[in-house]
Amino acid sequence: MTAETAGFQSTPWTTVATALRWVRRRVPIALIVIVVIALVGPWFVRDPLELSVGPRLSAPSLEFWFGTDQFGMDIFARVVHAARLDLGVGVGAALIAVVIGMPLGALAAMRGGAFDTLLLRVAESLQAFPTLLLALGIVAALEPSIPNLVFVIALVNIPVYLRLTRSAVLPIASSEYVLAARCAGKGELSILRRHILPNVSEVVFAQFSVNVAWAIQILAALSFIGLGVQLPTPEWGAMVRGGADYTTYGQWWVAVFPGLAIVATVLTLNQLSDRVKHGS
Amino acid sequence: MQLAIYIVRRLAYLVVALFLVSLVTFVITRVLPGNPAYLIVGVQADQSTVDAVTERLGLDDPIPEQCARYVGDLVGGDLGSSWRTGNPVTTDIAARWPATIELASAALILALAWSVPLGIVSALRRRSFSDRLANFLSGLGVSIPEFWLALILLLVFFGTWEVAPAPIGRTLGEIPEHTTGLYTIDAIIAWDWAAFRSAAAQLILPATTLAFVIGAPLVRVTRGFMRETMASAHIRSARALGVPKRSLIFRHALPNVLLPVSTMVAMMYGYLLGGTVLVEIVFAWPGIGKYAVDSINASDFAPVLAAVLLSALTYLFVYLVIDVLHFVVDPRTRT
Repeated sequence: MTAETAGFQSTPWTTVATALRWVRRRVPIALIVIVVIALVGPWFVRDPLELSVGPRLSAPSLEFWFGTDQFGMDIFARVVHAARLDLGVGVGAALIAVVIGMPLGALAAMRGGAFDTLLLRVAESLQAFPTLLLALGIVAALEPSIPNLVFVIALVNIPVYLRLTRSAVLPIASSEYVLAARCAGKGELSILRRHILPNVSEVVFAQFSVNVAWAIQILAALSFIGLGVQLPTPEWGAMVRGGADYTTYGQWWVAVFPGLAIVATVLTLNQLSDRVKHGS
Repeated sequence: MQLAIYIVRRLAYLVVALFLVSLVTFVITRVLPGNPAYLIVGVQADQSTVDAVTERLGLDDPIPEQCARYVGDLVGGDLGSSWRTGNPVTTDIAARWPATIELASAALILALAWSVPLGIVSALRRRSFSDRLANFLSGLGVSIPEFWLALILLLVFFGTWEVAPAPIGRTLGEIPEHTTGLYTIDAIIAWDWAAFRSAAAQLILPATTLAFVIGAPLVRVTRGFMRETMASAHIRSARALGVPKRSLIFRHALPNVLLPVSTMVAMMYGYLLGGTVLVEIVFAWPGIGKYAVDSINASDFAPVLAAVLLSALTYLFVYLVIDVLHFVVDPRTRT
């Protein structure tokens, strides 16, 4: 896209190079580290589900970097394995939300009228619910399986994209080049795809990384309540839940390390969004 | 007169929003897979029992009919009853509502106390220490999970330094005489110093947890609007006219900032009611959130939906109040 507008011949290589340059400039290094850990880390650590690899509730040491939990499982191995699940659910849920919410929002802005009003009102009323409570209500009605969790987290995030895209598209929809494209007899969907969505993609992407962060927070919160991922599956929120009772009795490491992993991941994802929004 | 018309129009919109909101909860209960009858009789029940309950609940009626009945029940104030506690949900909620309101309000007051001043100061001095502090705290605040922060505070103040009381509910002392249901306020009204201390000591850690988390976006919003306002033409003119800095900030800029910030506060209040769920669990705070989660764990569904619905209603109501306030305060909204 960028290569094309700059007047180069766009080959797969230039596209890759542009993408890499973009990553180097915008993506926080800590986030890259976390993603790499999520992708390859699980091959280098112990089995996260093996019971009694060490003594129960032993403090962090050279052998067990983050200590062991009440079942003698290696917390470091579990935090690393959980990265894959948490980031996977986060990205998956945000992707579904953007794929549904973005075109709907753009269509609402282009069509206007009753269609627009209806979508907007439904989105607003969905947003009147505190996200966590809405997710909690729906999850309670479903089974807490991973696909269901992804679905619910995506669902509560759709209104965000719908309204964001709608407000970004509104000024573009009445612009002259869109009018020109319409006069040239182009269909609505093709105008949307070629002329409108590329222009709002930056705003939406900034929101996307915030949404991945939210999705991870919602997943962790649901698991902490006991409605999300169930122990012994390694997931950060569920691990905090598992360690909560020990925290005040001196065995702080069981809950502290998985929580730190959430903070680090969410923090860097938010940073990415800030950098995309403000450019650099 | 103008105000009356505005309020009526806003109320009409509220009714539409309420209808849509109740539609959402209806969809959650009925259209999603799974027969609510099983929640009442259990999965092992034989088919005739299930059929009888289905019949009694009217679950085999056409969907629009069920929906109309559902909304009708809501308007009549009937939220169903909880089989776990054996009470109508409205009774249960009325008993727990003050606990959540007390926690949420204390958190909101604390949040405003740290976030708005920090946002303003950091906007006035770019790249200063306070600006960096604001960046750091707001970045951390939006990223930290409430339940984890709550545990950390407990670890430090209860587990290690032993200055905070055990996280077991709203008070370790005597419950003050019931006036508002908010223990701290009731204790003050009754001039009961010991009860106040006990209630406030229980309140401080959960309220601080929430105040940190919801204060973070408020810092950003305040700073953003304050920067924008300080760069605007009317501030420049006032400065050119020799208006002293103090009055420039407090008289000319601040009112313009507090309006959008108050909208944000209304939105945070909605978030707060969701956020309290997690904090209430960690501190065994007997509010709506803990009630909802305890009910879920017992497969008791009516209280969960009631809590979800109630939080949305509160949000819409707070939003309405803020909108009307804006209408009164800000002439620009009266177009």
